[in-house]
Amino acid sequence: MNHRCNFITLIVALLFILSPAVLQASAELPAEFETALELALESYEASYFPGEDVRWQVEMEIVDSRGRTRGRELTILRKNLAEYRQKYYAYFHQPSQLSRMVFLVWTQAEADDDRWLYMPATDMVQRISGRQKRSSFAGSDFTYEDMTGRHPAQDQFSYLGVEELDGRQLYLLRGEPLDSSLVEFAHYKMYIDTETLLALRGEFYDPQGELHRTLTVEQVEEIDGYPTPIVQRAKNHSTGSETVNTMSEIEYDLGIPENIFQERYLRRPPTPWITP
Amino acid sequence: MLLCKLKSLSYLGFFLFVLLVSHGYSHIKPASAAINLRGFVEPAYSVRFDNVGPISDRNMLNETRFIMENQWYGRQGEMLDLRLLGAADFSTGHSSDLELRAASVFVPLTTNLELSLGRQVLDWGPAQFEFVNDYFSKDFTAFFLGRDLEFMKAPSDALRVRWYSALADFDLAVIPEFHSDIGPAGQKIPLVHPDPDTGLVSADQLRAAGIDQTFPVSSPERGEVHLRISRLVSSWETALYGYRGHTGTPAGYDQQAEQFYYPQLAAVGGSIRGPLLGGIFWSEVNYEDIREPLAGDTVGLPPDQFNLLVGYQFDPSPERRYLLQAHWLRQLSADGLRAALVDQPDHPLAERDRYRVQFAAEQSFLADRLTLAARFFWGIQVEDWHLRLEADYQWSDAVRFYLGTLFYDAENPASRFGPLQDHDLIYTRLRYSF
Repeated sequence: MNHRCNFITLIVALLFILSPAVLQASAELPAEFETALELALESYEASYFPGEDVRWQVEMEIVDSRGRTRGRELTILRKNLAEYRQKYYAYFHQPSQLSRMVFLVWTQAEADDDRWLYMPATDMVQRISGRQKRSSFAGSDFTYEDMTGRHPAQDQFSYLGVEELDGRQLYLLRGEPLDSSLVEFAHYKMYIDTETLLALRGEFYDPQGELHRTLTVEQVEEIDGYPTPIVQRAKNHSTGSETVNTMSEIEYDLGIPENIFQERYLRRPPTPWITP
Repeated sequence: MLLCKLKSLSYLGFFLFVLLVSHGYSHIKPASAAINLRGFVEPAYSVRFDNVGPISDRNMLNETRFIMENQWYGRQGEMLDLRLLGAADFSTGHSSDLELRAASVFVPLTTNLELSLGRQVLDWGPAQFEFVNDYFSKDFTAFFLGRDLEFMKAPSDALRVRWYSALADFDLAVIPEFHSDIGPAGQKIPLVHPDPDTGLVSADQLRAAGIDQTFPVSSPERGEVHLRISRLVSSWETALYGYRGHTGTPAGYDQQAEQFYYPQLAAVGGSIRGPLLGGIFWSEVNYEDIREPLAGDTVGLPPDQFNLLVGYQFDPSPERRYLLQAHWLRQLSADGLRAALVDQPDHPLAERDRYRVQFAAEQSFLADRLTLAARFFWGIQVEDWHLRLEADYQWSDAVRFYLGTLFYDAENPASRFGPLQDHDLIYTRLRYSF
């Protein structure tokens, strides 16, 4: 009996040692990062925090599994604040039924967002739960969290090494949510550009280990000195739909005042920062 | 033939519009170089399941509505807002109407002081479909007949002044000409006869009985003042309210003149709304003072009232949302009224305390293209209820289809859903946005 127990223990130990996660986690982290979390944090800053503020236009094309398309055009303002806090103002120009709709979001690193939605047809300012960050952004395949970033402190990371993708060297991280009840994925892989530290690809896996959603940055340009994603694609492998965001008219460090990110500016846009 | 008439034009807003464009604010430019008209066309049809009750017609809606709107913006934040509603009603012959939903000018006078003048849709308060501190005009017939909920908010001709300070934001709306809510008028939805034994009647029946049931929807002699003082405390929106005007419904009945009227009303209240346990919580309180000498002593007048409402909304998943809301109404100084109703225990005003609850659930499918929604209202004491079921399908960015059913039941015709107890209906709408 004792021998049998020792044998099982040995097998379990071997399986653990040889498991892919442990093998991958054993990759040596580049010297400039002390932990995988530090690498994730720097990528988070590079992807979502360049500049003091920024304004950009988004053309969103949503294609469902039957090839039907829907479009959105919006202007987004973002203001960075201390301690990873940010404020976002998203004003919809198109389509007609969403025209003048506004999302106002105040993000915090490790707490629920504050979110307001203004619906011009009913002239209602709704308060939206900030915990449900994984819901669809305006019916697209992007989530709110894709638009404003997922703070790395919500996940546990392991470093898997360097991979080459389309001629670029990319750090590969594996993230697991600390609280899996708040997200639809079990783990994800994040591919980070070794030069710019922009996250260029994200793969989200469901609890069965199936690839559920993919986010890719397909074009990057340097604008005002900041490497900036220009074309992003979100593909939902479960539904077969995908959304392409094309950014334009990107301007950093405009001096956007913080006081425009208020309910006061939901019913009318803060001109001249937004030109309807 | 489309017979158009401009109704209740907001002359002052239109005058300012012309003045601003032609004089001091000549730099105001349109939102785009081309004409940027937007809007929609929406045929709607709703029919009752049966034709019992005083109104025999089963057709509730057979109409087409269109909205056209445009906004112009100036460099200093000025805004001119025009929104035109056209409606062609095919249910009772061919009638049509043209109405300005919005014709207002917005001017920031200083960094912290703003003014908007003209016809505008106004509302405030966090409660859903219970209007505790929101005394702006509502169109309840739109809600009861199956129109889009955006038509439930009736526009007001108002001067609105907002002052933003470090202490709080002050919002004052002055409506020189009182506009009532738009409720059952005996045409498509029956009325409650003043004699409780008679029950529900149509407008024709009431007229035949010699009772004046022509409710004036507005009165140039009477105005309204609405005040809101708000402040964001951490993530919580807090607000205080004040109102001086009239009840939105013709809740008063002059037995000598045999005429309904709008009793004078003053109200104060407060509200909070913010995140709680992963959802959104809100609450409103309010004290209503019916400024009539006999309020609380006679059946022909509503009594003073205290309101407390709490609500909570949470999303267990990105596609699903639940809402629960409870409303407590307590009569104040109404012993005389309840004594007068001692023989009518089912009368809605017979109980000192009344409770209403509301439950809503919403589930989206197909990447938000399809939404199924259910909303249930229940008056616990008066035993009336209303269930709304709706499917909303977005075929494309331009085309949207709605199919819904409305169910009503009530023990007493004088309760909130009493006039609709035989008006269960099915509705459909097709919206083309441009």
